[in-house]
Amino acid sequence: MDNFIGLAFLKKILSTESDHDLVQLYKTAGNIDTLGELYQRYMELVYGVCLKYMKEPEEAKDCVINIFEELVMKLKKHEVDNFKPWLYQLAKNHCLMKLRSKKGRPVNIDIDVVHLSENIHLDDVMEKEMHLTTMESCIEQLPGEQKQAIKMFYLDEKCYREIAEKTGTDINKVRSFIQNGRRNLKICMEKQALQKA
Amino acid sequence: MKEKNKTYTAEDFARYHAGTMPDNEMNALEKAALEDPFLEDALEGYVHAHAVESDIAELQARLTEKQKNKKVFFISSVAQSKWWRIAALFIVIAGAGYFFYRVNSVSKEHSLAKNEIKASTEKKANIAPGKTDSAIVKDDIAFENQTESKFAQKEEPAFPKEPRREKEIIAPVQKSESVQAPSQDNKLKDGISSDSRLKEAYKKEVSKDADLEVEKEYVLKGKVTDENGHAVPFASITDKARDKVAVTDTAGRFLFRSKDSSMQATASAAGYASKDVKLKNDTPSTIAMNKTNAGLNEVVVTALGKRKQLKEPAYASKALNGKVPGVQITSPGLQPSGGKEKFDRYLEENLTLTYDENNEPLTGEVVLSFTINKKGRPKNIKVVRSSCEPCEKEAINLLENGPAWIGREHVPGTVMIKF
Repeated sequence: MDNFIGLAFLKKILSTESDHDLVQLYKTAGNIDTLGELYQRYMELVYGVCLKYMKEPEEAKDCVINIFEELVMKLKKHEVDNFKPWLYQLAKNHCLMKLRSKKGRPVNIDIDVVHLSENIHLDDVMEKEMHLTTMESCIEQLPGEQKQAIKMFYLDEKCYREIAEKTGTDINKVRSFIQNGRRNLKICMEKQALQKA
Repeated sequence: MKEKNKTYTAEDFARYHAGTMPDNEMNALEKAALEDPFLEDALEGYVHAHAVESDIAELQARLTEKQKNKKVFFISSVAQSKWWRIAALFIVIAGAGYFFYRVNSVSKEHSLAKNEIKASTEKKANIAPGKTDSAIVKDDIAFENQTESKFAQKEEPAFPKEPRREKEIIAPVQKSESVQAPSQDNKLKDGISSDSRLKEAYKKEVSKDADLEVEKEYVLKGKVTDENGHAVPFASITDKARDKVAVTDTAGRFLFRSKDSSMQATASAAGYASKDVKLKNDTPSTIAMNKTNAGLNEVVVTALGKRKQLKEPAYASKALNGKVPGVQITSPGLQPSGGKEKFDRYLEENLTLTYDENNEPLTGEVVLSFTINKKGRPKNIKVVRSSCEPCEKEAINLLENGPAWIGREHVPGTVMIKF
């Protein structure tokens, strides 16, 4: 009976604990359930990443399971402070390795993918009120199409599809306008901040 | 931005791609994706998914299954004390079982060795030379099986697992041997009927798979072919890690049982270059072997090249009372210790023939006279008579380093060594 109580207790802990705590718990106690619980939190994302690279649902599913196995081994050895980005990197590497090992099938990473992997924390910057005025001036400095797309996306909160419909451009172009606009915005705002300092 | 910390699920991604998500939610998701490359990639990936809900359910089930399997190695810290007790008990039982099994198998091997000798002498009378090998093999396996079943009967109540597993290992070997022997004897009809029997056995093995799944045993099977895709019978597949062997049947098929879902194995067959392969339980593997001529020739060359072959007449001479080459002791006062037989054997084993410039062995007789010292060692060795001058050195050498002699000191004796 005390087993049941113990397990229930464990489950309760697991559902509320942070990623970091679960990682530490797994490292000290080595309980696979801990890791399972942690992995479940991101499994759907991992599946998405696998789908993106493998393109085939069946292959992607195997990939998700294999990544979990890799995780079991690797997490014991590596010091992981921030689990989510680490897992993302692990998943991506796993997929790329898998693709590379498939002979005769070239790995084509289109430019879009490369763009997306840039990690720009624009939200954090935007949320600071003192930056709002500088941002407005920066938005105005953007090239026409980027300015329009950024305004619609962030100020009017339109989704890619709506913007594409309204401006009559391809949805992928809209996406790249927004991505490039964000990058330009960031550069512009960093410049302004430097000038002020 | 209020939804920044919302966790998106596979269902959200599916709705996004299906176009059933409201525009404002799509905007929020797109924004979140721009901040989080992980999310961005995942969102993009779901374009390729067809049945998201069932996919996720399947993944969850597989993951839980994996966790269960791994649990053996990871013991929950909360329930530790109880688990440890069970684990310790299990290890003790398993250890005792293994020890008992080892003791039995050692004594079995002993009796097996005895039987092998008996079997080979018995069979030699009936079967033409060259086929004896397969006959012995056949007999051994039959015997092994016999002892195996005896063993199994005896031990079944206490330890039912060990004997059973071993039987299964032997099964594939035995099966194919039963095909091999008759077909070598050219009993074609027999061969065919046993082949169909084999097929039945094969089917049975396969149908047994379902039961075995419960015990977490994997069935690794495959087929061995040559470059043209024709089956290679009697090829042996060796499990490198466990030193088990399976032999292919007439259709080139083989079957392994293993606790692992994959194994490193080596396939080899006479006339083919051996090949390393990885076997997996879910995919029957086809092993294509490459022909090589070296395999067969090598065997022939090795047999002729053996020095023993050259000496064969020496063994035959034993029947002729050690006349060619051999020893003739003409002095009754001195006898080699251990008797004449032993001295003959010493000569047979150590006599090195002397060769002329054409590499032909020289023949002849060398008669030596000698006396012995207190310890029985030959001294004052002299050549009395010789029809082979170059052999004299070897003859003296043989006598000098040979067994001790029994007799009176200083009484001369003679010995004739034939080449």
